[in-house]
Amino acid sequence: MNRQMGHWNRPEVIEAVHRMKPLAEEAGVSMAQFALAWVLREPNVASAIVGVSRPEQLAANAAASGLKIDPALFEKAEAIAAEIPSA
Amino acid sequence: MRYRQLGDSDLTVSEISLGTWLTFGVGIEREKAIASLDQAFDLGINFIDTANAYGYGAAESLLGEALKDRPRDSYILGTKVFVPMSETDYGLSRAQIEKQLDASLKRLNTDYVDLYQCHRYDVDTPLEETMEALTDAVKAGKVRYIGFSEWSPKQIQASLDLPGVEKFVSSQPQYSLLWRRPEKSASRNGRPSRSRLRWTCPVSRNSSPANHNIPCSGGGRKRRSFRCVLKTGFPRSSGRRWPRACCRASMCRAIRRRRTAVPPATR
Repeated sequence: MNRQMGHWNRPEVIEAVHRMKPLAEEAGVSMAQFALAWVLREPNVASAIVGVSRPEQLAANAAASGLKIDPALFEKAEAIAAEIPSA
Repeated sequence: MRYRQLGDSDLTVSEISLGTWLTFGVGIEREKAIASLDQAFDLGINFIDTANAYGYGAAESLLGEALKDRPRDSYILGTKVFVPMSETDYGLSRAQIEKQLDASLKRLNTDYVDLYQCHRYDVDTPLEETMEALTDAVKAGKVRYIGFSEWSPKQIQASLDLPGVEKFVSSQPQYSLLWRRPEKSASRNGRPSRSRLRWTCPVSRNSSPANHNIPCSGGGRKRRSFRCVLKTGFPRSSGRRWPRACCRASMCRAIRRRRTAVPPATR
């Protein structure tokens, strides 16, 4: 897991995530909701487990259930993620 | 809130569920944790995931207290075993499963958990021993269903190949736009991308497909969907790690085993 934590903090990962922001905006959802909706697009997923430090975050996350997001936006996000060079 | 069936189990879980890693009992104030739990129920969240190791029991203890006034059948509770709770308590041996499950139930203030998950694979314990201990926990009514977290396709398949033991219903891998490794496991053997997460689908209560990449389908057999519990969101710090000595010892043993060419199924 430590290795993965390092993975998330790399500048190229942060930069890629910033590039995904307009996609979430286009979908009219927050970045967190976009990320959760992406996980839930997969029918073999039953549930996305979220951790929160404040109750308000949970309400925002729960709103990701049932979101209809244009698959083209997901594809664009996937393409951005695919461009991240491996560590 | 929408709900989906968890694998082949009778559990219907909310699409968004509440995790307690690094928050309950450790990272956030008690009041905020309890408020989050109340909020979860208000939002229709019915699945709460924890582990014995989260806060070394603190997350479970807080849940046990916060949930005590709610009807036990109004929520689905999952916890885990494997990660060291002390220098000597770790892994998936029968003794540990029995000891850690009882300790979890006591902290959680309940007679049973809905989902008992192997937090990781234990290379130091024969798989048969683990699966038999889990099966006995189900028979004893202490556990309704079993699952795993971050097991390899080979390890999953080996568990499914064991006769007469309880079958896993869930997988809890890390999975996100930034971490799609669970999908790669599926395509490693040259399967088309459609197979996606189905490497985790071999779990069919009454059948054990030969190839883990095309489970639950084919041969005219009715496709039985296996759904994964997936974890998203990455915390800022991982807190205390399991003792280094344990990891090293376990790695050495694993290497030794590999050298002596013990087949994986008998590990």
